[in-house]
Amino acid sequence: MLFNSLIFVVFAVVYFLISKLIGNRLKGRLLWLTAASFFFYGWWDWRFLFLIIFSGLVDFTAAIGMARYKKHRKFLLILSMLANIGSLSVFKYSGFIARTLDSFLGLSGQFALVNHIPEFFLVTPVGISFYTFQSLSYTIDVYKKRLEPTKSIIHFFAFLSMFPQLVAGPIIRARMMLPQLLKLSPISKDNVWIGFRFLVKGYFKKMVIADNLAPLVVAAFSSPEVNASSLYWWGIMMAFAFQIYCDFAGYSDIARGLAKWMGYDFIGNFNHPYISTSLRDFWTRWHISLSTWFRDYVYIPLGGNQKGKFFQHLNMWITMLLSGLWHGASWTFISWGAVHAFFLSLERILGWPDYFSKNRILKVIGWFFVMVQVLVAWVFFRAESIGKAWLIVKTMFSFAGPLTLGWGLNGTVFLSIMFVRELLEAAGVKSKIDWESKRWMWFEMILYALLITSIVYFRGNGSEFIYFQF
Amino acid sequence: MKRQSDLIITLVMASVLIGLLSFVLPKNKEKYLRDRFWTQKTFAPEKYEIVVMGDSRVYRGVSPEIMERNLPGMKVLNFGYSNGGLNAEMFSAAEGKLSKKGQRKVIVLGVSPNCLTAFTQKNEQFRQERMRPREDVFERLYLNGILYQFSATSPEGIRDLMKNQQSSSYYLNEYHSNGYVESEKFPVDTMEAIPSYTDDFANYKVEKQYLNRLIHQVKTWSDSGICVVGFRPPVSMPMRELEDSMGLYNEAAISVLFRKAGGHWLALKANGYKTYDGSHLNQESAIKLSEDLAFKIRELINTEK
Repeated sequence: MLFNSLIFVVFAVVYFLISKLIGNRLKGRLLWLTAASFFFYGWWDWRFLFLIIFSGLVDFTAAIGMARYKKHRKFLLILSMLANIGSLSVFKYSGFIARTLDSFLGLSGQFALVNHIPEFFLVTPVGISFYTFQSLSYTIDVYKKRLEPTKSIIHFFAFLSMFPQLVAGPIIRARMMLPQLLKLSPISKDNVWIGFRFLVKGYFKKMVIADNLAPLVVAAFSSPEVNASSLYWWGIMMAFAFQIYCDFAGYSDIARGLAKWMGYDFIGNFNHPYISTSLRDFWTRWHISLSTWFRDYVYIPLGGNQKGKFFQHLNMWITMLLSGLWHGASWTFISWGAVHAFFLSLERILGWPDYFSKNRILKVIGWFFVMVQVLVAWVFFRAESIGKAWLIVKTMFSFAGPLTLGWGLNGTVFLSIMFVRELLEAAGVKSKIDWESKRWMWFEMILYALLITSIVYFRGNGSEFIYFQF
Repeated sequence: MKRQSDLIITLVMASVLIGLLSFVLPKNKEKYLRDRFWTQKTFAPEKYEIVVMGDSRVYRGVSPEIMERNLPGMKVLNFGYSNGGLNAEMFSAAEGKLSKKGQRKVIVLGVSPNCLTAFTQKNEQFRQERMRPREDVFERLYLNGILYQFSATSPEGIRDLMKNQQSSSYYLNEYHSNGYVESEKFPVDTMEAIPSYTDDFANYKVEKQYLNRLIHQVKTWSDSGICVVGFRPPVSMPMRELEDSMGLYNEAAISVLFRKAGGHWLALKANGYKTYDGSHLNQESAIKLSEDLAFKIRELINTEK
């Protein structure tokens, strides 16, 4: 079920109405949340519900076992990891692994491994990477004694399958969410307003900005011949950068808005990544729930930056490559991770963030460098093959060809809205405003009315959220 | 501290703005009619005595309304799709549209060269419609009338509206619930479709395997009592020559095989119809073709009686 579909509106209305009827009966609330979430997920393909249930049952049981049988804690953790990573490998990576082996071993036709994988396993269940990571973090935290396991299966499944974030995050941690689910505080009027703002912002980002930029990007990348203009590709990559940002941040905002209306808090997943003045800064602002997951469960356990410079770089490379692979079963995503790792290594070795933070002009230069690196990396993320990505990057740096950005009026208008927004954020204008004053309260109300109107009249062609495929 | 009234005021302001703009902004009527048309054609549960199938030449060239006028008591569906290939998937879908109660069951096949090439066997448009999510189908069938009032626009759409720009070349389409698209194109250019078909036929020709499959189906239908009528959708003379030479279409051979399999082939006059682009019939000729088909079917039914 897509957030930007009519059926979701009906679903949400029914969900909130029945929640209201259930009131403060905790068990009923959790049961209803789990049932609604299963329905939400099953609407796409009910067969894959069993996968979530399987993954959840393994982790729920493993965590209880860890608390009860202290001697077998490690074994239970390994069991949980094998079940989670195993199902992720089968459903998300089996095709990729088979294709890679086929091309490495030169297998084709009836001998090709990929042709022997049952079709069902070649379909990637929506959001599998998100809920698998969420579930994994639960057992790891229980193992590390950072968290007491819940004894209620409904409590656990309400956390694991919570519909606002089930298929595209943010990846919420059990430590943060399990206690919230047990709270029965009434939803404040403030939270209703805050939730409303998140929803409007989210829908605007997705339906107006991302969906209107998508056709430009699709046209550029689906063309069999790579456009020869350098400026055109810089323009297209800027359009893609904002398309993917608004698509994903839009989803996260909608998820946060819904959570607010349910009485819960999700962490912010994006914090204006395109105003970063270093790549390290960028990674603290982009897909925060995933970056912190990788930091806490991969980078730090590998040794983080505690084992000398070489291992610091090596650990970072491993983390970035895994992050690329998490995004998709393709060499282009791994390359995207590698490009980021390369630039991050370069940044650490040269130490330019310190230099560029000295004054405002240098900050702008730093920002420019970050944008160039991020845009180049996005080429690998978006292109169908590494060969094509490389060709596009070469064109970008050829500084030749016609001087056209390829945006047209539509692209120019929608990108300008985002540029202005990011510029205001970078200048810190928002924080200087007294939003509680009458004038600004009215301004805010008018702004949100305009955003709603834009969603109605300037919505692009509805499409799935990009991050669903991950 | 935000009060609930702020939320209500915002929603009221948004509603007023949306209402006012619905009078001013351009509406994309064509899109909504088109969406509903295809969804209805694919998903509507109605059953028919006569189902006409083929590609765009069929859905733009055969009017069920005209046929029904000449075949009293029989309901006709135009089941043509863009690049509609004649294969098992389409045969089964078309058969599913036939009335089980009807005394006579007729399938009319518009056998264009395009329908028998590898390119159209994918039946992309049909599949796209068939795979449409349930909620989209519901929206298109029942809510399009409301959604149309709030048609999405774009900065470019508004610019064109302000400049009052209309494309120098445009279609006039009228979507009928029976699957027919009554169409005209301005300005008329009977050579317009030739270059794209030249490109298509350079890569895709009529293939024997697809023809054999069609003939096999004609036999299966005929054996089961379904009356099968075939015809070559009329086109301009240069297009016809192109189809015969480059596309390797042989109407004489096809008609012989068709008849042998128990079907009835309607040989149409090559120059008896007019197109607006060399490939699709104008309204006048679509009426004529529909009448010709109806007469043929009536004749067949009368003979059987």
